[in-house]
Amino acid sequence: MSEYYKVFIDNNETSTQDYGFVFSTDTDVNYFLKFSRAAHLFKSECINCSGIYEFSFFPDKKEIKEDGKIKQTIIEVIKAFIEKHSCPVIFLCDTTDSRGKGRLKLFQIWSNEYAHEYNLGFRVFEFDHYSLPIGLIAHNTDINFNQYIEEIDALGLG
Amino acid sequence: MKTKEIKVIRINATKAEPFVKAIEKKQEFKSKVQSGEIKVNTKKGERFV
Repeated sequence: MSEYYKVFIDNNETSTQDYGFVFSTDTDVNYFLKFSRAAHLFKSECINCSGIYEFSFFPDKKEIKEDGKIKQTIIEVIKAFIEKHSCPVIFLCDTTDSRGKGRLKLFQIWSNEYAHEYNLGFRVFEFDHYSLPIGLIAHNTDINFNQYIEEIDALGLG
Repeated sequence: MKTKEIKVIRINATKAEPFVKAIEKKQEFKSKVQSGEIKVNTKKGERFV
C-alpha cells in the first residue's frame, strides 16, 4: 500500500507564477496545494530571493480525521517541487485559529526527517501582539540558503 | 526527535505588511475552498507524485 496519496497537477491553477496540485484522501477530503512566487516578501535587492515560492495547502473540509498519509503526501509534494524547480520554499503559518505554532512545529518535525537533504530555517515574527511563524526549506546544494535567512533576519528591529 | 530552536524576531508593522497581506490572502482562499466557492479540481490532470 502506498504511503502517500496520488497528487495531480491542477491545470486551472497553474500559470507562469503559480502552481496548483490536488489530491483526495481515503475519507473524501480534497486537498488543494499551491506554490506562489514569494518575491514580494523580500527586498527587491535580493535577486536570489526572487526564486522563492510560498507554499500553502487547503483541505475542502474543516474537520479532518488524523491520517498519516496526508502528512507524507505534503512532504512528497514539497520535495518534488524543490527538486523539479530547483527553488527554495517558504511556509507562512496562519495563527488566526491559534494553531500556527503547532503547524510550524509539525512542519519542523517533518522537515527534520529530511535534514540530510535539505537546509531548514525557522523564525517567528512578532509585531503588534501578533506572532507569525515561518519556515524556509532549500535543497542542501542551494548555496544561497544563508542569504535567504539573512534577508529574513534583517527585517528585525535589531 | 530533537528539533532546531525557533528564533523569534521582533519587526515593525510596516515591515510585517507583506507577510500580513500574504496571510490574509491565504485565509481568503481557505475560506473560499471550504465554503465551496472555489471547487478543488478533482478532474485529474497529469500525475505529479
